[in-house]
Amino acid sequence: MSRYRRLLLIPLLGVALMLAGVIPTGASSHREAPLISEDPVADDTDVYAFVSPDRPDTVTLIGNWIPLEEPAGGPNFYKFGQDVRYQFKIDNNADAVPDIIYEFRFTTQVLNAKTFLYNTGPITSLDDSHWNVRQTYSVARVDHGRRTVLASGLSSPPDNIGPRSTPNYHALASAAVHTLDNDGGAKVFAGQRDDPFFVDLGSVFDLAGLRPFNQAHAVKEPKANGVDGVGGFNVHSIALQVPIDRLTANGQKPSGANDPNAVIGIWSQTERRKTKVLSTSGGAANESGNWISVSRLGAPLVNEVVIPLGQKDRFNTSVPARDAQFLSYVQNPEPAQLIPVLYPGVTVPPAPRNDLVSIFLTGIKGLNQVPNGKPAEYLRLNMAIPPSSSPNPLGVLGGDNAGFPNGRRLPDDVTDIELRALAGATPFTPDFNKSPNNLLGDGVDANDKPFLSAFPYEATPWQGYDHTHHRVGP
Amino acid sequence: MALRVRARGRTVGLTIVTALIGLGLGVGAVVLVRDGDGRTHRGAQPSVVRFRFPAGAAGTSVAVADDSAHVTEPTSGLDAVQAFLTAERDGRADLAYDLLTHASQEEFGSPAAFVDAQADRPQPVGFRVVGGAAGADGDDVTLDVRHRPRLDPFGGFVSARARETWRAVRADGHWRVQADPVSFHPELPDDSAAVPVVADWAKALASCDAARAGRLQASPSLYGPGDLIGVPCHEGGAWRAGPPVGLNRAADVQPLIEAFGQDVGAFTRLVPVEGPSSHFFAEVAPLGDDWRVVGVTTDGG
Repeated sequence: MSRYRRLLLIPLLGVALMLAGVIPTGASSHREAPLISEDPVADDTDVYAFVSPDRPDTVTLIGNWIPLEEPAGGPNFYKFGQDVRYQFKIDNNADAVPDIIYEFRFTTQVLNAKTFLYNTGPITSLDDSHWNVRQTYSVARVDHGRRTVLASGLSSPPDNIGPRSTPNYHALASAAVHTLDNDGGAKVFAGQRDDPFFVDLGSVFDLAGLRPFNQAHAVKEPKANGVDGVGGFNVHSIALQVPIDRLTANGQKPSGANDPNAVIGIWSQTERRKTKVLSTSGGAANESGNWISVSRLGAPLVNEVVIPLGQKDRFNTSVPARDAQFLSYVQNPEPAQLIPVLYPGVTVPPAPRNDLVSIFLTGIKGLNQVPNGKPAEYLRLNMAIPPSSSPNPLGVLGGDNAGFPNGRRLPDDVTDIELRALAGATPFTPDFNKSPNNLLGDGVDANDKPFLSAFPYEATPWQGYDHTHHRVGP
Repeated sequence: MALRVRARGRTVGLTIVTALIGLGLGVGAVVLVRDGDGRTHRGAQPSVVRFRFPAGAAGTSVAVADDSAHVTEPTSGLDAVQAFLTAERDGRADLAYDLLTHASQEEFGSPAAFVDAQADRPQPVGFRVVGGAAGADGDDVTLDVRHRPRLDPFGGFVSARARETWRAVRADGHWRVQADPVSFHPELPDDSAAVPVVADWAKALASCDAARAGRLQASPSLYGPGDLIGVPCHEGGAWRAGPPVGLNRAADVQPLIEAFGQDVGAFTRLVPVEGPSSHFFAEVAPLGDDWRVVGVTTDGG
């Protein structure tokens, strides 16, 4: 091979290596940015917002933290950070500034510090004296800068240890669903759950492999079904179910899908105090100063593969009202530039990608866009669109307006949706909404555990004693 | 040797390059021809051809906040500080924002963001000017300020009263105020007032009356080792409280620091609690003009 031909290949090598970041598989937001990847208890992995299927007069918000929790995580099982402020932020007038904030702070109690055990016998209730390391939490709601502490001392369930320690886990978790009487009867839950996200994490980061297409890969492997790379792992979830009229700007249930009060913006945020001083005596660090955002999450994918490496930490500390600084990355996303090179024969729409701006920054006109709203990256949910009786995991791309990117439901296959959106396989760009663009996917189409039919909807967490990682197939 | 390594490196590099090109071509080709039986692959379900949105009229514009109110231009530093605190007292954070220095406005970013930040700022309910001084950096105004008292893990501690000094600076012909006071000295209830509160709390616990004890706590749940709270009920008998001491006497106050911040020692006290055979500290903090129990900790004895 001549020197010139080898030189021509060098850019292709770089492009190919970057494919690992092309496909939207940063596990949604698990370890998506350099700094937050080193701070798991503050790392929000996913945020969901949907009209509750069994209580359509309410909206359910779910935020998950602590990515890739190994269920056998003893003896110090996973728990929320005591020095962290967890938040859901809601913008109900499309100015990209939160109008309502729900906040959560956790306290750990150790009943007996003279044992190494998480529990000294079976935990059969939330006040069981065998449960040695437990957490309670407080919930507050902030309306336009006015904070009301809604509840404190709420119990979080233990982690799912195993048949000897947590023999009836479902009952423990059910007992940890609390009602907030001073917030319209909102329900709240905070504790360990199965990670509801699903993606073939192991394959796509192995030189952009897609398991169903293994035989066509340059480095061939046996053809296989997709494997859920986060299957068998848990997260720590905060779930909140709030009456719709507690979220709108006018305090009323929207009159219809075209009522501008029907659309809210949602994102989760994790904050830490600005200054941290490590202890020299074995104690925890002293933290002081204002609360600073260290993790921020709205729509999946954006900070994973649209925002470049050098800006990811900045994105996590920024606020939606200043998202104009990231506009160019959405209008001309790096992944879309790479797809035609890596998938010869596949063409994508040219920049500027106003289709992606609609999906990620402004909402889609006629669905979840508020006229004259300020562009910002967060989930947009039209609360007047009722839940679907037969949800399509492809959401709006599957003809189901109750799903992503109108909010986000647990079963929504955001990996496939966003992969297709990047390829232009949406009605915004009809010339590209065709095969193969509109068939792209990673081969993992559902979670490894079925979701619950009632709040908090996420499946029971895997137990440490008996769990399976990377189960093949749905 | 070095040459051979380099040559082998080139070979490996070429192999990788070739493989990756093949990867791109191969995957692309596969995508184009489709997979035959990918049971878990959704290739059989393409995206919709067009969106089907709810029918109806186009949405109307978002309601715009009333911006007709404006602050009267302050004529002095004192005037500016008073106008700023008045706006905050009246819940008009939008007007208060207009009175901030340019640097402070930049820090918050927008009036709406300043409104959002009010949850973490002490809320004044009244104030009285007690002094002032002009300096090179601006005019300092000292006031006795009354606040809405607060003690929670979200916004931390705010005393009912404090002596504060605020700074106004003149720029471009306008007097504007810095967002935070240059000094803030909370006025706390007398330490001795904590003793009867803790004594009553311990007696309530000793009689296993959790409801009565809870009324003397800042919140239903307390910080610190959970087993200590149950000791008085388990042990019974007579319990008493001693004179308060500083937080540095406790074996472990980390939970309080994590909840309320590093300055927790400035406003919390330890009250020794002693029963027939056990003893520990009750951690107390002011809630308005009263002390309330916020946690427990061992006294190391």
